[in-house]
Amino acid sequence: MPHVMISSKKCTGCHMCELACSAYHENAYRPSVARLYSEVNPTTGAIKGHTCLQTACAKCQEACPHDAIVTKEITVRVKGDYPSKEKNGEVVKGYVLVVDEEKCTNCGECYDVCPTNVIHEHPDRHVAFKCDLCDGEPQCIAFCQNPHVLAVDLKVDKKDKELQA
Amino acid sequence: MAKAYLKLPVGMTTADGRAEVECDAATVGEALEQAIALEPRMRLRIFRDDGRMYAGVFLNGRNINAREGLDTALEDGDKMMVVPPLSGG
Amino acid sequence: MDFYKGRVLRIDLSAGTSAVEPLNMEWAQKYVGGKGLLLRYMWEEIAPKSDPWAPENPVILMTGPFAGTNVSTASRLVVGCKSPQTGILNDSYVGGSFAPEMKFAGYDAIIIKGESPQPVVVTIKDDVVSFVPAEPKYWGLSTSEIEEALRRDFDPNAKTLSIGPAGEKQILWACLSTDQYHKAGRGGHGALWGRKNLKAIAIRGTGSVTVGDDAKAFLDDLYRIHSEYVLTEDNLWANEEGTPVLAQIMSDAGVMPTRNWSSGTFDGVEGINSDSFVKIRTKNRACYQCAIGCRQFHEAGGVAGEGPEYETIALCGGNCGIGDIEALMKFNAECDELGLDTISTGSVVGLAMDLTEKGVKDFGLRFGEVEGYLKAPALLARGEGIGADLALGARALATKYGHPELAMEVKNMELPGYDPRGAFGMSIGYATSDRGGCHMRAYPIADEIVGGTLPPDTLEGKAQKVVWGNPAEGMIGENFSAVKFTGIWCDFWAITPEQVAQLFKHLWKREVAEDDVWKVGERVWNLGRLYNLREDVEPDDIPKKLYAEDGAHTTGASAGRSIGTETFKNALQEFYQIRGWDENGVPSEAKLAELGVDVRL
Repeated sequence: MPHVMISSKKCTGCHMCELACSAYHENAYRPSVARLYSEVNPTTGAIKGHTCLQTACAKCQEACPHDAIVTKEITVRVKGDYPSKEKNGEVVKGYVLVVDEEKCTNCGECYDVCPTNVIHEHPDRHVAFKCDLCDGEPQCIAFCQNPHVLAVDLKVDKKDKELQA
Repeated sequence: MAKAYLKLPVGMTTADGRAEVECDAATVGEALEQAIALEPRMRLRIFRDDGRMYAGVFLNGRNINAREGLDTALEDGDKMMVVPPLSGG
Repeated sequence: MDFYKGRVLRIDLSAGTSAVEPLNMEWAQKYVGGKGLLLRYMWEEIAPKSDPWAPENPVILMTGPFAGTNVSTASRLVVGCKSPQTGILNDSYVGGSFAPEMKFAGYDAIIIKGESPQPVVVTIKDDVVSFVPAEPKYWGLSTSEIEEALRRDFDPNAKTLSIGPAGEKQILWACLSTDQYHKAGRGGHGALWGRKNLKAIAIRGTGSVTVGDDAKAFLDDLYRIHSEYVLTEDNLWANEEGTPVLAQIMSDAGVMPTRNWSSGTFDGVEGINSDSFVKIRTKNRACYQCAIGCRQFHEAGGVAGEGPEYETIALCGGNCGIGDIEALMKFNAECDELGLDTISTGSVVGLAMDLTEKGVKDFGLRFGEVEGYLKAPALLARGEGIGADLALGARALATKYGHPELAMEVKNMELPGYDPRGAFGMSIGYATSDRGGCHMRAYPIADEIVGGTLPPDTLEGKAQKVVWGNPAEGMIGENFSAVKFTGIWCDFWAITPEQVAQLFKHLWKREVAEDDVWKVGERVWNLGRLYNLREDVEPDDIPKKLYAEDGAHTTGASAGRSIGTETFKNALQEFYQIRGWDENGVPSEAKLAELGVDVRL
């Protein structure tokens, strides 16, 4: 924790978060390589958010035979005047799971166990890639421009709260 | 003075959950000022930062510019609505 | 190359082959993208005065340079052709996510020529283009069915552009559909797909759109633009209420076409106005890469889905005397699934009701009667029963039964939801629109009716407004609509020329003045005028009763008002003078040179 959540009630299915995520990490817009996504049914408009729950899940870390998924400390500063600021304050300290690309052998164990389908083989580097909370300034939250309420927001649990003190 | 109502944008409600703001004023201009005092977000729905009115203000379905503008007199039960000069559609 | 992919995909349906060629960057410098680049390609690709139905005449899909980035509302696609309905240029705009997917697959434009020997679906996955027989599985499907089928059979993430049964039957206003509810509606490119035996294109792209060597710098600037210009209070109406808000306003102002344009005020509007739709609203959605999200979903009488928008409420509601929201929802859903443009459909059904009520010809349709009304779209799309007559279009249908004056169209394209007798400026807007009866090129309504900053019952100064508008305050004129259609931005973001300059600065990698932005718009508009003159466009005019002294309404808020024939003709001449055109609307050599238009008649 903390981790990004997409509210399926508030999300309008504009995919701005995926665009911003890919541009930030790939230096170009390439949403097929985004690290989160909103699954939209075009007929019914039903929406299901897919994000990495970081240490609140850690299935990929457990499954990795090479200890390539590492827990790192992180300080998250949400860009923009968003509800997460009122809820979680300006700055949130916590842990994030990141891929150590030296150790990753692209064996795919984590790809199969991820419950939200957000860790995959990178098409160019052929190692796993996943959400790393943009080194503390999540672009998905910044560009979630749902005019009224934040659809893509930062979720913080009790463990993190103790860490803040 | 007349009791008139300003319709809030869809999805916006007053503190007590009503979809319109009740004003007690003689003219449309006064009623809008009261509504803005109660619902500050309404200011930028009607006026630019420099105070110029850019949106269309309707009194019982008629644009107030077809009458006396902000000085148009109000009567009890009058209904007001604000619509930006939208395009397309 | 940044923002552009620099690649055009050519599809030859006759041979079942495809090829990729470089995008003409010289043209892209002058005409940027979208409408501008589309018209420049049409000038070359379509032989002068040729038959719009000819196999070698293309339908062109053109993206804007900002499609596939975080620039809000720029995910729109423009579909272009020489229109089989009007015989002049047609540029039809649609949202959804098809244009961004085209960019990610590696294409700025797709040029579709030829006629397939048998019905076909074209699938594109990055560089792999395949021609898949459309029979028996796909031909005949509704627009939602074909999309689901291609997601199942081709790629779950595929974006689809398709025709419904109406396109297969080559109905003049069959539209192209994408993401279920988005329609490139008007002008007949759906009919051309039907003639070309092309049921759908499904596309999937996994590539990228570059925006300079530092995407993070672009993201930071774009974040500023969003906070300052997109998510501002004045832009949120589309997200909160949407275009149904216009229904009550237009009817109250005597501008809503009612019972085949016999009044401007619809006595049943309370049943289909915004308050009625808000009561049955289920959810709100957005097009791809759009922070505003204007798509309103509703559910009533067992029908659930997106829309209707104001134009459908006016032409399929007021114009047909239908104030029953469930019937309107059903009619709209039928048109969506059949792939029919609701403006032209509502116009011909209203006309058929008028002819029936006047005892000229019994179509079994009457104003306000739901039963026959709900059967009309299917009959029209399949050309069965009264459908054959309806498919003629307003001008031919009214003429066939001896009442040409009852057809409300300009250059054979049925008029949308604004009666100029209630808003005089629209008379010049309709007459000079470059594709026929269309409201999207100039929208005096914003100032005359909604903003109320201009009197609606005079043509004083209106020609100037139709040409230039005042986009920073509200009304979009023709020249700035040409800019928005070139970038491609949607109308529901009230972007200003100064803000466009800030985005063009990223595109051209130099400082951009507002005047540069205006130049692009005027250049694109003049290119369109030359194209239409080359295709022998009929003189600019609108149905007489919309300006003649004896054409005034007798009921409704705009009763008794008429522009006057003399006043209308003079305003038209004033329009030409402002544009630097002669009295027949032919641009002067000086104007073309000043604007850098690189073609001549």
